[in-house]
Amino acid sequence: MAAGGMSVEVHGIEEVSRMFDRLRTNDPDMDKAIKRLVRKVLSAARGRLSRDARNYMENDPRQAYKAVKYAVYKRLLGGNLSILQKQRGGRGAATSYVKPRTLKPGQRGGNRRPVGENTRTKQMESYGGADRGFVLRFLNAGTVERMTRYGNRGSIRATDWFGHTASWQMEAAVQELADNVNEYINNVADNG
Amino acid sequence: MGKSDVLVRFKAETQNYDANVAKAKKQLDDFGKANFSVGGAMKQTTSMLVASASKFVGWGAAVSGALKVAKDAFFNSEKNIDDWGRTVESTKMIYEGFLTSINNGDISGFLSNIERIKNAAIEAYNAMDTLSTQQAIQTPQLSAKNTEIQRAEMMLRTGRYIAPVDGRKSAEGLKNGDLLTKEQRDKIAKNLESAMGEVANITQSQVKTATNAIEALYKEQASALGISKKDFLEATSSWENFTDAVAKRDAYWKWRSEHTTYSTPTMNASPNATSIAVATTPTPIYDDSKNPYRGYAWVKNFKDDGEMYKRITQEILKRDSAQSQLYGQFGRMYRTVNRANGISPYGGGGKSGSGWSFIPMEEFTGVPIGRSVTDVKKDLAGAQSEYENAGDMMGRLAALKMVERFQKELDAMKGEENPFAEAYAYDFQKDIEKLPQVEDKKEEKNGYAAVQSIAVETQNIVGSLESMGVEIPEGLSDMIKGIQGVSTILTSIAAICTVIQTLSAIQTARSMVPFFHRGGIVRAAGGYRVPGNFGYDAVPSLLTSGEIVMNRAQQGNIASQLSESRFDIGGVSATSYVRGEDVFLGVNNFLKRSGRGEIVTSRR
Repeated sequence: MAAGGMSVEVHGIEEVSRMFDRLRTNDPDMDKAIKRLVRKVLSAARGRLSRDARNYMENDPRQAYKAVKYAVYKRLLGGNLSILQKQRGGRGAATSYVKPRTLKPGQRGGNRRPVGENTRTKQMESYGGADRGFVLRFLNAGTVERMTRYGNRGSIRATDWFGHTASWQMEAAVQELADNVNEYINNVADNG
Repeated sequence: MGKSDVLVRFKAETQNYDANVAKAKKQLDDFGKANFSVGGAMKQTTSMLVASASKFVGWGAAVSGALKVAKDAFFNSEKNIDDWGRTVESTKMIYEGFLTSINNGDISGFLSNIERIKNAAIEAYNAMDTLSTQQAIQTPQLSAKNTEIQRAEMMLRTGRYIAPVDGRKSAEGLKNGDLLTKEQRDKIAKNLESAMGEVANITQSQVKTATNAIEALYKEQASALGISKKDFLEATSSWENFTDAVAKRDAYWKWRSEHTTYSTPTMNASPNATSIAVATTPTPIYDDSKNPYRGYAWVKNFKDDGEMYKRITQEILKRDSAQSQLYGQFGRMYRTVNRANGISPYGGGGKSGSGWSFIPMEEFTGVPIGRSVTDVKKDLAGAQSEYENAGDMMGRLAALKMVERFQKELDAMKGEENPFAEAYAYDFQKDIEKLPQVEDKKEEKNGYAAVQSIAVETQNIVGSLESMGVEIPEGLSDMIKGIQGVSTILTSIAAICTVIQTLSAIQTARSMVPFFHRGGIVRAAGGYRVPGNFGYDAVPSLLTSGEIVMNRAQQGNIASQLSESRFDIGGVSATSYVRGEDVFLGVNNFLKRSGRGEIVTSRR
């Protein structure tokens, strides 16, 4: 009874085939998914790098450590970590002042800075927000000795901390990305 | 990276990845082109499995799920359990190795694992097939074939044409209920024989495989309980043995308590009596090796309401259920084989000619459904006795009418027993003659015990049917008793199957005729009221002496009398009463008048 009565049909070949198509990087969904994962791992790497930057500064009143940035490329599958100045289109990078459109209570009119700001706010805004990264760049690359009429301002010794830290943070991020992509492929496979 | 680097970046190289995916896709497509279809009767079934296994593209859970089905299917084959383990391993391997396969673009190893899964599935279904569990997942084709065989059987049994339910028309223009000619019946019988020949195919080796499977089941359950198979079989081959084992468990403890001595407590008091005296706890001393019930030591660990007891009882029930299912399948298979060989329950037999004879419907005319010869004979004897003992001429005449009626009924039966019971008894006899004998005595002993428990169950069913008012033919009861005297397992099983089928046939026949022994309104099936007024008798009913049937007009009369008992005369309301005294007098007068004496009371 057992012999000859058996039939096995392999179903789902087309499904797997379609799944392979979906796994190719030129597939919009796959592209989007990988970019999402790139953003995820670079964000985490930026955090780690940023925390690392604080170790190179005794104090950091202007929170320069926040200047570590990451970017996800639009046309390629990739991204970067940097301490470059963030590009801010159409405005000078040196100030965060925005012209008020109406007078506010306590404002005396004219194009003036609002009064009553505390020291801390002034301190924070004395650098163009995203441009505070110059501190990190100085620490990284060092400065030459600078003489002014008020005296010798001295120099900063180059630490090359970015070069040391960022490269292996990036390697860790890429490894993490590989794992995440594998997991994503796994999920796609699991769900057909 | 130089000192002045302030940026680190990466770019994914996807060319190789994409190329590998494409390569894997091509391999898969090639794999898909390979033809795995073997064809055959089980196609539908296996398609069902692989349809769920089609998610093997989904690797993890889906494959495990599909293979669990396969595992359940061949649960009682040791060899297949090993295969199952290997399959699980390969599934894991697939799951883990998939990414690697993708990365190097070579999924041939992966595909070979699918091949292994396919083979495991085939093996699973072969095992399932051998164990005849197709019924659980019966294919539509097989089911349709069975329906067709049943239809042919019914046509031969009734001698009338039965139209197929799927709307096929008869080539000869026959309509439902038309009487068949001899030629037509011969043709049906021939077709039936060939159809059964197709269905029936069983060999001795397959029986052996199945019995081996049962053996494996025993072993599995015994090992689950942590005891040897021998102990398990001895203690649980029947409920009696199991109860006996429990009793021996009690005996074990009793013996132990009786033969336990305790060490004498000693006082370690210091001679100078300055330290505190310490009494040692008495230690129980017993020798388990001398306990005559030590063989039941494994039983000793559980109580009657304990977890272990529950587990063992559940195991026994499960085992018995599996066995009865399997043996039931055997019974049916042998039955089919016999039929295919032309052994008919309706006389004739052999392969000469059509190999089939039948009882035409005409011979059944006038025989109440489900009424056995014994019943009629009993009624006849009662009527004859009433005739002889009747006190007056009217009574004798009435009794004579009854005698004539029962005699006529008995004549119509032509001395045969109940047609259903008779048919199955014959079938049973033939089954016994044709069944192969089991060689392994040990197997036989084990199976026999299970069969006996089924026999007890059957007896219980018969008892409950009797208590429900179903008339059980005497021959059937004898048959059930006879099961215990049958010498081989398979014959016992066949007998039980026969009995159960007979019972169900009787019950079905009975259920077709509504009972009105407690009165009530005649209703349609499902309890709905029959709408309208047919003007003819469309509802069959069985009645006994003393019961009254009232037609609609008579019911109306009664109803109107009841409602008119309160009536208006010239605007004055009056109510009629019937006193108990009047009823007593009326009845007493009637009895006196009809010569049946009078009501005797304690006070005269």
